[in-house]
Amino acid sequence: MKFADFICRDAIRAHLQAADKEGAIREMVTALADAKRVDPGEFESVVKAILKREELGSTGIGRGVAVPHTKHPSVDRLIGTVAVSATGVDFASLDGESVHLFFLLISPPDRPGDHLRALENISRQLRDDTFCKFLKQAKTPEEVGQLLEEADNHQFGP
Amino acid sequence: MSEPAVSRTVIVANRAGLHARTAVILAKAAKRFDARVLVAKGPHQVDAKDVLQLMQLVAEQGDALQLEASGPEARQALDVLEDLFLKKFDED
Repeated sequence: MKFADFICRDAIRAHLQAADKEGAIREMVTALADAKRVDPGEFESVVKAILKREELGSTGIGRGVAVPHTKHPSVDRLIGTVAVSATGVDFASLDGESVHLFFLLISPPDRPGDHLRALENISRQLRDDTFCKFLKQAKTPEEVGQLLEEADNHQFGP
Repeated sequence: MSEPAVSRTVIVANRAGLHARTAVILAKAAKRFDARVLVAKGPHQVDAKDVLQLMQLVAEQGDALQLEASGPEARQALDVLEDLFLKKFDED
């Protein structure tokens, strides 16, 4: 699976304003709603589902990266977005570091495999330090989108 | 002096598989032990203490994984890790 298969480019945010977990999640889901990928009527339900998932254990996987996510019946295919925070967000991560890079995923309840393949793609690409560093330094959504495209075209890593 | 490696097969029983949260739980548990712990799905073997590597296994419900550990606390590490799989990571 590639980034282009699930990341909605219109919903990418390069300057996350929020300083806390809930605020960051709300901003990203708002971006997906603005891009018409999340039904405005389902907005609160999606945010609550993602927060509930975080209560079970943080999706801050270390290296300043988090992958907040949920299953939700209002989407018929896996969708996601990327957001960058210059200041960092306290996400109760595995390594205690604040999070600067977010991949938020929403998948249909009956497709757990797609979610795993998206995670595989994200984690594989993030192993490349250059990609990780460039993403965290990206200043515009276009720059983020460009980096994802380059990663899809195997321009990072081995 | 090197300790002999121990290994065990576990089945991914929870519906969502080895996703971000379960990978974090597994890595955290593995890190508590003085042991080198590897997880393999078929020929693809990764470090159990590395979340990013674990998520690259794409371990889905029903998949069999080989746990392999070496070091002073190898056996204890595998006991705890196997238990996580048996408990389905408290999911479902």
